[in-house]
Amino acid sequence: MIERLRRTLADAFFIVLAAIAMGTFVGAANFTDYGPLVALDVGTVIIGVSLVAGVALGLRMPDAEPQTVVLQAFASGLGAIAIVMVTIFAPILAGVVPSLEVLGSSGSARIAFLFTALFIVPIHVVGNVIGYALSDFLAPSRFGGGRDTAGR
Amino acid sequence: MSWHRRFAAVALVVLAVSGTILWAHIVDRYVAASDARATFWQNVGIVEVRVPTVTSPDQEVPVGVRFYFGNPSGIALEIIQISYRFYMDNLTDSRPLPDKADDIFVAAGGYFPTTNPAVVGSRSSLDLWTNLTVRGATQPEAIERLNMTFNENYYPIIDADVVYRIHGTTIVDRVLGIFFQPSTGVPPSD
Repeated sequence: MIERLRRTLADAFFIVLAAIAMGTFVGAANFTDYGPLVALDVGTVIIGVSLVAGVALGLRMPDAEPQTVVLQAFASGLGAIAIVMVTIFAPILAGVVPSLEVLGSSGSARIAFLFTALFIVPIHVVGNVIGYALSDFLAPSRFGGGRDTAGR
Repeated sequence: MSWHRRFAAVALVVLAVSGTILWAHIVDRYVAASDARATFWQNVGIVEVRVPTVTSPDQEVPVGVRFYFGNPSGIALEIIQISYRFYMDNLTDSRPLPDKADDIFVAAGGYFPTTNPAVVGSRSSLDLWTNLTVRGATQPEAIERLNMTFNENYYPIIDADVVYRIHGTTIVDRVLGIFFQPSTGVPPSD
């Protein structure tokens, strides 16, 4: 029971880490006008960071069922999109402007940011599946790849 | 824990930490820039005008206009352009400014730096003098309009606009309608 709880908390922690990694990089890539520390391209960041975070998350879950892998990928992807939304609406949340129209920002531009951020989810799911397959491939043979091989 | 799980965990931690550092930097500047853009127009004004006494029609008269910029935000601003139209009010003409502007216009002036624009630091202010010269020899109508006093005071009217950039970014914004029209007039500066 305690072991199961510990494993669940550990998985949740790394799902949150993956969400933070993806959400922060994609959020920062959308605002390169504000002088980032490094120049980032939105498309490259969405594909690259989502894939890498997905592979890393998938590698960590060799014992999980495939549907759990996909569900956890969805959860971290949605967390990343929430962070991107917080980034876009940060001036309102900080209370410095009543609305983003004051800054000359159009609703269509914000929708475009959010639409591109949605691509995090499918790419991250693909990364998770790749990582899950890799962990199975890399697992020691005597453990059968962490799956129930009784049917083989 | 196998090596690839450990490697994956470290990779996720590194990604999350580096992403958070980058994101915090960006969001801090984004919020500060938004604060600046939303409030800068409230903290810009013309605080002083200096016009010396005009003693002859072919005199060269330097006119000084002092702008004040306040920046309570957390990000610096660069003043990349100030442009204004200088009028000398004729108090006997009671028409509103848009109707009598052509009749009282003296000259245009401004601040147009080619390099190193003035910077208003974060949470600080800046006083910036701009000068324009009215040359009586080549601008007889302008010097005549400039030399208009009532009770030994000048009554200048200035309509200015300012273009500024958020320091360290490509974001440029403009403040229009900076107006100066003292009701009590301005004494000659000499």
